[in-house]
Amino acid sequence: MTNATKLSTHDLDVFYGDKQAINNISMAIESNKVTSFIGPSGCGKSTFLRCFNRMNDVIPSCRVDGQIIMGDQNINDPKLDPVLLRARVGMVFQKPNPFPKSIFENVAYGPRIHGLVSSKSETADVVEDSLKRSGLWNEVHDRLYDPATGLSGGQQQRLCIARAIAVSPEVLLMDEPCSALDPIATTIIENLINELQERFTIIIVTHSMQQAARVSQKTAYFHLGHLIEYGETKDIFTNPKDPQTEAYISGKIG
Amino acid sequence: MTTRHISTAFDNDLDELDRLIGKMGNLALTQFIAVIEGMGQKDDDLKSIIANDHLIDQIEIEVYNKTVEIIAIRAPQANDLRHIIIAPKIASFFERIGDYSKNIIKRRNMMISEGGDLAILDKLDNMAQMARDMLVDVLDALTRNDANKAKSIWVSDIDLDDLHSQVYKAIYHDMVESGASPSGIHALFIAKNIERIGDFCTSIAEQVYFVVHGEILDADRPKNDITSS
Repeated sequence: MTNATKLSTHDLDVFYGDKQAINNISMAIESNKVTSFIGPSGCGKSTFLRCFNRMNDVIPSCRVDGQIIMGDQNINDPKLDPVLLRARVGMVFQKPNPFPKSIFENVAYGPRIHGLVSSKSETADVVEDSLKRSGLWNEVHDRLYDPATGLSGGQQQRLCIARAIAVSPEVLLMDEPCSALDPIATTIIENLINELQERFTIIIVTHSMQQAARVSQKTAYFHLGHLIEYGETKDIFTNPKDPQTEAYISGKIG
Repeated sequence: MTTRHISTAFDNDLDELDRLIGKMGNLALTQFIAVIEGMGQKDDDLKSIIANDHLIDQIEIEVYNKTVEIIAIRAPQANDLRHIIIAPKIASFFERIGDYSKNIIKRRNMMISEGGDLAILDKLDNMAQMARDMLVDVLDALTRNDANKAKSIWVSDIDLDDLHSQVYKAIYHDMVESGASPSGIHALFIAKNIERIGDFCTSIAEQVYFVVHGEILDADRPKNDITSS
């Protein structure tokens, strides 16, 4: 496994109006690794995550200063088209949000609008491949044209993952992807995350410290908009260097 | 770390584990002090020391059970995890200290039954006092999570090794000079038992240091016991 940097932020600040949500964070996200962002509610971890695919652009009062480098590009450059960026940096949300369409159409939609497929058979191949990668194919291959909303919560979340990876992104952002799922569905998603990291760089925001410990190789602890500590997950959970991290992971501050 | 957890139940669990370890350590110390004070007194058979050893063994089982329960239920992290994971290890060191105390008395009772002279055990007084002080100190370091004190105990074990070597040589010399006696052999074994009790105190000190710093003290601790090398 390489230690190559996939994404890096440089002096990143985020403001909601006058309120500063993220304070001068510089950090590097490693390629083909799973990085967890942890911290109490309001610490800025989701806000920071949303910088990586410019989801904060849709909030009028939100301003993001600083640079986010992916490859040789500053993806925080206002001239960059966020729609194209989001094909490279996909996202999965807390609550599964399939389109009110068939299972097939949910996955086929992205590759079609981005012009990644040019024929029906090519589309079918991408759909099948994405559903296999998301571990859903065996459960849905005989009902691809059923409404996606008929799937269970865990299946819907895996469908959303299939939809996100259908456009072959480089990075996958996951904002508490299991918090609406039961423990078995959670285990299935966690296992999937482990498989997906071979192809994608994954950043996951989670409130479950056990989940962060289980799925990620790197962990970053945020508090009040500051990056307090960032390192190997095994170090963060066995011997954190910062007393604030220690207090949080030990359940001593909320 | 002195801060309390948000979960009072978690703190109660940790307090209970500390209480068990503390109780075990104090029992081991009480036993060892009774050994030191009584081993040279011929008129007391010290059977209570042998009889009380099972109390230490019982608490060791309670420590194991409590440790498994806390890990399963609380999923401890970092300092908490280290604090909990060392408990069974420390319990087994206290259990060994209890065993050695019992063995010393068994051997000393054998000396009496063989008509041996307990006066030879006076040569072990300084060693026994030093081992007792190490045990008192390590209990204090453990209770207060004092890594500095733990490290100084760890370093000081070399003094007990030194003393053991001197005692060994002196008894050995006497045995060569005046002919080997069963009492001399018993005394050598008892001296070794006391030296081992010092080793266990050192091992407990290593665990205290690990809890506080998350690092193992360097294995190259100064050693000076020529009797077993």
